[in-house]
Amino acid sequence: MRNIFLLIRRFSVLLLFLGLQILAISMLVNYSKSHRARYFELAYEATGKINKQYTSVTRYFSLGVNNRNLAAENERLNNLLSVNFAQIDTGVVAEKLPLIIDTSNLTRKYLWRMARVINNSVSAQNNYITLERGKLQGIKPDMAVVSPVGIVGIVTDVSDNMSIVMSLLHRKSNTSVAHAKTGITGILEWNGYNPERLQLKGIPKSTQLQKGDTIVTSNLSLNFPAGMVVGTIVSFEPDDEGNNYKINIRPGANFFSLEYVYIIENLFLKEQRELEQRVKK
Amino acid sequence: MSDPLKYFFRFILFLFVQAMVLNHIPPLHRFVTPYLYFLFLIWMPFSTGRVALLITGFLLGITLDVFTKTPGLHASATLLVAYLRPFLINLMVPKDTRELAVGSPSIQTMGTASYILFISLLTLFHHGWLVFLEWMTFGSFLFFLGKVFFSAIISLLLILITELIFRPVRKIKRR
Repeated sequence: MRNIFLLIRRFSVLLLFLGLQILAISMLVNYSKSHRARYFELAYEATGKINKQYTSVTRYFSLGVNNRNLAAENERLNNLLSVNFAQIDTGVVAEKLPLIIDTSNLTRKYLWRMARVINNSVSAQNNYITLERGKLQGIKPDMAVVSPVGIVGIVTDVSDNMSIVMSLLHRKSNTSVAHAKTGITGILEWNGYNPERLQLKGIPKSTQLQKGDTIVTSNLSLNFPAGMVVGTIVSFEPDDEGNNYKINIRPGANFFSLEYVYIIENLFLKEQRELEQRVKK
Repeated sequence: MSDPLKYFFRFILFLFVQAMVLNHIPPLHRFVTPYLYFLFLIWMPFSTGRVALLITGFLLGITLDVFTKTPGLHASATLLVAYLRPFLINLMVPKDTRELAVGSPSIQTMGTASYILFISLLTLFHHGWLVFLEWMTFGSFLFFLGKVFFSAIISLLLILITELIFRPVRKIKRR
């Protein structure tokens, strides 16, 4: 017994080193499995506050770009207003309301919420974005995050007032997307090299592709509404190993100057998941 | 300013520069991520005990991890630096001068050549371990080597600039 104590005392530094090292690595492994760090929630609130102060300064640098994006989006939305559509008088009583979308018989599927970006990275292999909205504002994990010009990522973790988004620039991000012209679906990934290029996999060689083709979110995506702009094709070449193309995509969203984004909640998500789980059993 | 207070502010300053400036600069290249924060550990005084050094290292790493949202990644690398530092000092500083050496590792206390070797080795260990942990989950071997090499070079450049700005070498008269 005495020898054991002596041994522990002699190697105490090594043991402490190994103990802390094991703690650190197990945290890392746990996190990369689940992307949820419960014991870090308080710390994230604190760093969120610091980042908020910091972005209140840096956001002036990207003000121009963001104003332009907002103006473009306002233009698009204004074009959808009912004021822009006249009822041409044909003598027939109009049965339709002069609205483009008749919401009277529809159930809401997606709910949009605006959020401010308070921290953002593009230089790491796994990039995360912090938003200034959290549990108390109704944000839950798995909600989709889009910018006015392209999709951004998916909420992975929330604290009381902050939420953390796994950016498209993340090794583990995979989004179901589709080629807008043909509707053929594939999986969007990132290889971690260039933040201005995303990789699209699973589009068969038989598809007619062109440079500059738009890629949109597919109807199979659980989080994103179908048909949201993802980006455009920059280059594509046939993959020697399989039956598919290797496609490089330029993301529509500018990850370098994100400021305001929308968080989209799929109100049917829970129901769909439960149903699919039940069938699997 | 008293020593603990000085080290406390230095801790915060290094973390701030790393988390708010170096992690936010647009990437020069996919191989290059400059790291400066572990210089805090290198600048700890010679007299720091090994256990205290390990705990400081862990705290430094885990605090940065909160900012970068990679729990454990930097903590693991700084632990390695904190563990290896005393061994390297024992190897590099001759025994007779080590007892006289007060203060912390610097060009003055260790000599130019051995100090540069000392920080280069610790930088390589830090980057090697950090990128190795990243590489365990993905990536190719070439990417691993390239990233360690180029990140280490850029970081060393930054460290030397920091040394020159904050701890200039006073000229010692030699006969």
